[in-house]
Amino acid sequence: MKLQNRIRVYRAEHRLSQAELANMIGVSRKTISTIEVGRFVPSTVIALKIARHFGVPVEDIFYLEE
Amino acid sequence: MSQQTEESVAQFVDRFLQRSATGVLLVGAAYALSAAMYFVNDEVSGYLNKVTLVLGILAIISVLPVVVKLVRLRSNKQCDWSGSDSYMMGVFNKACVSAFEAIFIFLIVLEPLSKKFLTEQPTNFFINVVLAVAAGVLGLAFFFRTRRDEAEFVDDVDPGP
Repeated sequence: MKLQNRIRVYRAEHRLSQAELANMIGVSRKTISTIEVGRFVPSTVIALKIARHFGVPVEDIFYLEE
Repeated sequence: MSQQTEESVAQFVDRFLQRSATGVLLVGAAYALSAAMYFVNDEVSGYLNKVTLVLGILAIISVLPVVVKLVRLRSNKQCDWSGSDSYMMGVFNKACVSAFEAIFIFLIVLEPLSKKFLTEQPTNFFINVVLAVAAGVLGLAFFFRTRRDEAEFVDDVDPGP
């Protein structure tokens, strides 16, 4: 199973660049970009920060692909 | 959208790790040359000594500015290592694990070799070799794992006016 995410979709809806989202949740741009492409599995804290920023449950953004 | 000019703490932590890996790699090369000096004549050894000095200076130039900034940020309580679970920190930690694995295997291989073939070498030679392997593997593993980052950087969401 691989962890997938919808960060890119939510960023597009909120018209946010990776750098802007990164600054808002206190991580680097590279952290966001590597999470988006699935190279880096984020910590629970980062996942919760991203979900809280978009105002949705964390499972709306991150899900496991069977 | 205004242009982001000021570096965030998280961005700085990433840069600090990159500079640290560069410094470690340069130090590893310096230790490797120091070990190599035991196998060459005095003339070449003198040349290698100068190169080692240059590598050491380059390592200091690479690391010192970010260390100074880190100390300044920490003294101002602006840097609490909030980026400790970032991608780059993860890569750095994996590189440290790779370095440990490499040095463990290297020492196992070196132990019988030191009894049979490297009996003339002083203790300092082995210390230099071990440090060179540890630092070299750490630096190379870090840059190998991060080498594709910029190529995969995708950010085509238009933030609008």
